[in-house]
Amino acid sequence: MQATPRTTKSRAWLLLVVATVGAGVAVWALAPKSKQQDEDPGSESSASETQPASATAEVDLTRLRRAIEVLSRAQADPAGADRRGAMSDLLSLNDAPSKLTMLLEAAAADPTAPDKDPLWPDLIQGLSAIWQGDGINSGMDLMFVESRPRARDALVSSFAKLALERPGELSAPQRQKLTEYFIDLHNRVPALQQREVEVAARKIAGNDVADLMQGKGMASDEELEVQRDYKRSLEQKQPVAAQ
Amino acid sequence: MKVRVYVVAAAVGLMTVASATTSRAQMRDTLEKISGNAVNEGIHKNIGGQIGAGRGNNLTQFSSIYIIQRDPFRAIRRGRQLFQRKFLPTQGFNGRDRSGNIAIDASVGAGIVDSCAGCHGRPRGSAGHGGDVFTRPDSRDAPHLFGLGLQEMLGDEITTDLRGIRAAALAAAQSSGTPQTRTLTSKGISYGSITANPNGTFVTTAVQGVNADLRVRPFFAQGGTISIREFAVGAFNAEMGLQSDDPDLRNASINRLRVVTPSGMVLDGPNDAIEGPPVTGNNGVDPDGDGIANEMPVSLVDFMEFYLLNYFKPGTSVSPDRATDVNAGRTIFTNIGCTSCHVASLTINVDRRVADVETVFSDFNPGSPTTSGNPLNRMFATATAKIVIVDDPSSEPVLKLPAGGSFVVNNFFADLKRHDLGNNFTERNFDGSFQRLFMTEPLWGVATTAPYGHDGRSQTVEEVIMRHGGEAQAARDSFNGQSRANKNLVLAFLNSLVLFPPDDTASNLANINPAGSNFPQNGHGAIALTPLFNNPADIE
Repeated sequence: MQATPRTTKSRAWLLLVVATVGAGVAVWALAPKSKQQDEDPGSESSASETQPASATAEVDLTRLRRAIEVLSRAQADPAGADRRGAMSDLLSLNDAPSKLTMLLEAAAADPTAPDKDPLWPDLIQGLSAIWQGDGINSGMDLMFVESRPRARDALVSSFAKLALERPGELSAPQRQKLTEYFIDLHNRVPALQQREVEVAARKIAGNDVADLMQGKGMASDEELEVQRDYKRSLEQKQPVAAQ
Repeated sequence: MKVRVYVVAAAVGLMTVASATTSRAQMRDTLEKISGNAVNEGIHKNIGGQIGAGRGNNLTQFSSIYIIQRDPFRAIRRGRQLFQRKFLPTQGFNGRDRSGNIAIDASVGAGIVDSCAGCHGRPRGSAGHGGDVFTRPDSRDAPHLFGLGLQEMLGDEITTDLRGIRAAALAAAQSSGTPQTRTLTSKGISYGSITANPNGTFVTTAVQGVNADLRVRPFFAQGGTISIREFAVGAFNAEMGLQSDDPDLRNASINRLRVVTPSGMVLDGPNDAIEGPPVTGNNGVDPDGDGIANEMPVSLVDFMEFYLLNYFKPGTSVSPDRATDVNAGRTIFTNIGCTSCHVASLTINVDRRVADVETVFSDFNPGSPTTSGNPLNRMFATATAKIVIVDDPSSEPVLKLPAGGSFVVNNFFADLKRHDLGNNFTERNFDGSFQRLFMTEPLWGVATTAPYGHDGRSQTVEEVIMRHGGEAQAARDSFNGQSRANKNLVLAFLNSLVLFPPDDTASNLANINPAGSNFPQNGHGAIALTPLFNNPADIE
């Protein structure tokens, strides 16, 4: 048995991995680290995978409190200037993790029904713009684990928007995973999000999934597109076979 | 103490892994007296080398705790090699007198097999399924062990949630002076309700799917065992005749202590009935009389537990030409009510693993070797480390500890509850009684685990669906009421949930090398951990 190198500390393992992988090209990245994480090893857990963003991002609490205070107030005019200002303030953030955290906190605290909220489209647009590249994967998981109804609904709407408007940005595994989440979440979200999910599923997964979500294709006298296509292909082949 | 967090942002690319890192199923070690092994295949440490310096601590080189905490991917690999090891009589294998009352001790009808993989070995090289034992009159099939750690963590977290609700109900009852009823819900799953009385007693008649102690027991078809460690030590004895005097199980079961295993599992001795080890007392005890004592030292149990905690979850195989069928089938599966018990995905709050491996369909594409599957199974695995690096004051290599983040267990399809599935599932016991309640079988991997049912008496997926009754009668009837075409879509979906042979599955740890000689016999890629060892030259 060979001894484990004793003198290699801290970064050595990272270097070893990179060296071993070398041409191998496994890329190990140093995750963003806050001061709080330095002081509290327990908080490290949040930096790995699929953690709600609220635990990972550095949050400007004063700014968040101000925005939430405005947005969480039941107001006669949900399109009022102070609400618009608060939402604009959050949407103007450049740091994606902070922006995501604050938008979701604000969304969760806001009592305004989404279908009566003139700022809802802005919120969804802001969230949807966050989903890029590998961040889409953790975002989808966040959509699944989010337990605050209004925040979850906002995430669902944001991914429906992504699927509808930018489907080409989804890799094949991401497209499949998003389809699976849409199927699994469809019955758990309000009617507004159900409709959005159906439209999005039609875009990225085809008519059958969307039709089935709407309850079509389940009865004995109903056929799905895949079944009609299959029959059509058989019919087209029959003359050839006859020849 | 400085702490740095490393995560894998992306881990792709061509990596040439030495042939020594490939591995095979059910192996002898290369140091044994075997000739003719010109290709040098096998385990590269003898049993003494695997035992190392015992349990030790994180400053004891070559000990299990040291390796688990400072070189965790080696620890996983060692557990894997132990899992595949074909034990010899001189190492304590067999030797057990298997007489006794089979109605009381089902293990009398178990084993004997010389390796874990002998029963849990399909697909090859994996901790899969395949065996069948006489622990019940109508037999039990050996389930696959993919995702075992995730199951343990889910069961443990649900237990904590349910017991927390119970404690809150008791506190409310005692403060109000009146009985308090609370619904038992965890991770979106309902376990009925419980009523706490001011005098500290509980009414548990409305508890559903779990014992009155609210402890979820994820393992065995009837839901009998709490932890991987109990499962492993029990199987070593019952199926292989290898007895371990495991101190963790001993302290939790006999001394009723709260024990944290090296894998981070809490054995809650004061509150749970933990299964004791087959040997207790001192290590000189030789209960099977084969002349060999201490047949399964604690360090080997540690490695085995850590390996199974971190074992890959099953994969999904959805080729582009099947995606429409698979997704439509999943939607029908949901619509007809199957997911009321076969819950698709659940979330773990604190993941104790050090890595996750996501394995999906990837067509063989020699032009893109960094993401291509191989011609053997057209799957590609992406490994992601989930560790924190702790630079402790010692002169030893850094600690690499689980990051402990949350994790979504996708495509699990179970609810960790017991259900009555009707007469077709009812199982005979040797004493003439019947077992009617069974844990919901997780459907991940279902496509590659025929035959089906706890007893393997259903030859196809469709037959085991049709076998459902009892609480699942409505969903079964709904499936049966679908058109033949829709049933086929459901089956297409279920056939996308697969196990895979890790030695033969390309990954970001070992890509395919189609340009190499004798491809794909060589260079087909693998889920190879050796490059992640502190010292990759020291192979397992």
